[in-house]
Amino acid sequence: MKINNDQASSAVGLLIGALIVIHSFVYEIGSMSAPGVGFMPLLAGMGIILFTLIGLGKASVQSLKGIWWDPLWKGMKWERIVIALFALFLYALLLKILGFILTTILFIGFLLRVLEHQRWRVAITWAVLSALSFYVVFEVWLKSQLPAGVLGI
Amino acid sequence: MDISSGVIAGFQVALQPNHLFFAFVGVLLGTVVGVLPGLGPVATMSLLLPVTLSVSPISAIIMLAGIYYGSQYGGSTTSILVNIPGEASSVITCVDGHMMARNGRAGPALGIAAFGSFIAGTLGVIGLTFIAPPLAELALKFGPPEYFALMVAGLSLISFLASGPFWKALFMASLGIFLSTIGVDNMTGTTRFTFGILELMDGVGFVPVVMGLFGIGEVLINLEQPMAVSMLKTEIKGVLPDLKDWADSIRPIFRGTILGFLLGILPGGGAVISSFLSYAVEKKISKHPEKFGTGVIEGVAAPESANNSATAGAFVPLLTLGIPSNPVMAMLLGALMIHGVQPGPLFLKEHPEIFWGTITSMYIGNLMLLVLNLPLIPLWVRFLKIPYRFLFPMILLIVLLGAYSMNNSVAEVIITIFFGIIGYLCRKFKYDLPPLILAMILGPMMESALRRSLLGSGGDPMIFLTRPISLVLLMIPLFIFSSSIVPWLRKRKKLLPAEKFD
Repeated sequence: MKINNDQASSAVGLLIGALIVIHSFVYEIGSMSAPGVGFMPLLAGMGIILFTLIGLGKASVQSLKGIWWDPLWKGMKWERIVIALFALFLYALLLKILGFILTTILFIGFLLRVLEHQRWRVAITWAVLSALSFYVVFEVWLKSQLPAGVLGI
Repeated sequence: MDISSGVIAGFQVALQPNHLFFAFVGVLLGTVVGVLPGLGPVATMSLLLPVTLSVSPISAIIMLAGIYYGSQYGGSTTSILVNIPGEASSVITCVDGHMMARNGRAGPALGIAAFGSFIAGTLGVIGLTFIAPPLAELALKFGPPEYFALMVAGLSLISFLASGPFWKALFMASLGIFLSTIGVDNMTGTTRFTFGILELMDGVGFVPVVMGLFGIGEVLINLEQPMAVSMLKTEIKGVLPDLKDWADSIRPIFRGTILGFLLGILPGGGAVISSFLSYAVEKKISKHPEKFGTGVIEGVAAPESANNSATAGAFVPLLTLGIPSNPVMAMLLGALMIHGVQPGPLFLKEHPEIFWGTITSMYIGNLMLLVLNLPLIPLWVRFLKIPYRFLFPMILLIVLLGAYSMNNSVAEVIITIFFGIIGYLCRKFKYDLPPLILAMILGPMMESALRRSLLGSGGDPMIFLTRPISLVLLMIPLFIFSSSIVPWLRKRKKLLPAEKFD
């Protein structure tokens, strides 16, 4: 069976709504005269279910008319997204271990070298300059407490 | 405090050197992000929210407000020179502005955009000065049912004006309301939907969400399809419009100002819609409508004036009712709430220095923009030459550091990246983000107003329909819902441009 984009996304929305509604009952729903803590999440969950059902219905009608899956990543450089997300998660993982300066140099250098195919010299220079400038702004000027890591600064 | 003494007190606040500095930084950053395609005011404000924590609330709001109205000035530059709108509100400026540039009249086009913006921005602030205080007095009569009805009306309008289907916008609004319920319940102290995660006890942070959705989400979208910007090879000379240009432009400027201000006040209205409508009005009443699109100066003057006065109009519901009329205002509301300041009917009484300081800083900011923009146009053009491959790692770094420095927590960084992925997928599947942001901001207030109303009425939902103001406000969503079945209204919606802020 072929499904289209709106059918797929509204099905995910429906699942989210159902989970919210079910979990709302873990908390006290209360009554109309004394709404409990689960009252508003329940309403929000019911809203999500209602609107995704409308979407699912509309998308199904479109599907019957021959509007099927529109390939969203066709012709797109999706691998760049994967690489960027990998770099972002790695940054979060290494920030406390290696410290701000080292992690930032690796992060910027990686993006420029791997994603943008810059020459090593350009990537490293830009990465070091960026890390130092951000260190001055955030640590020295704004007094943020950036992680020191292995370098101790 | 009457209006005149309020204005004087406001200038005393706004003219303090540190506030002048933040106004300058705000309008400068606003102009830069307005010039740069792919980085809008919402994204910039979200990036700078953590920075504002280290300054006073008044400094924070002066700077953030400066970014907003500054971006409206800057947005016209790329529209005119490159035919790429820096902001959604400058889309229509491309039509005649770029044609003027191609005809060798880039200077007067840029000049009238700057002068029109200045006149409209200043008149808009004057309007704000006189309308906000009496409206705040009126809003004191609002009880929980009126507030709940007002927020439902605002959310419905924002959802109605979203670019995608209505059901998608309402889904996003419902999701935003749900996200706002995560964490400790204000009325009972019970935790909800935290699943034992310590970082969620205080709720899903507004800053990580907006930085993820708008900062990372926007970068990811731009990465999969790199932008190609080609500059118009033209020399910019004579940015001062001549007498004929002024004669052709002055009426469109005033009409655009009035239209923009009124539309800016309405929830869901704003800079984008007002710029399109003012262009349509000028074309309609023009003696030579056929010339529109070939490079007429009225086609630049009217929309650029309208989008600037709309920014001043948008402050009216925020400062008087505590209701943001668009995502940028939601960002400002979020910034004030982070500082423990709650805009609303009591805002003027409780924080007159912030209220009047913000308004008067906008007079000064508009003057700064005029002084900045005309001589610095060549510099703004150079910003367009910064390759995106060097810009995006900086944007990502600001997002990551901003998220981390909120609580010195890596978990906040991961939450931000998570919302970045959500923002990317929402863009791919065409789900508008503004309803989610607005609902997230309004969610706690809505919940409190709803529960208080029902408690007060003994559980009778008729309380919303028996109070006149609440009834009138609830007619708005009813009218909107009925529009999905009335063909004439559906057609009207299609004619309206989509409000995009990112």
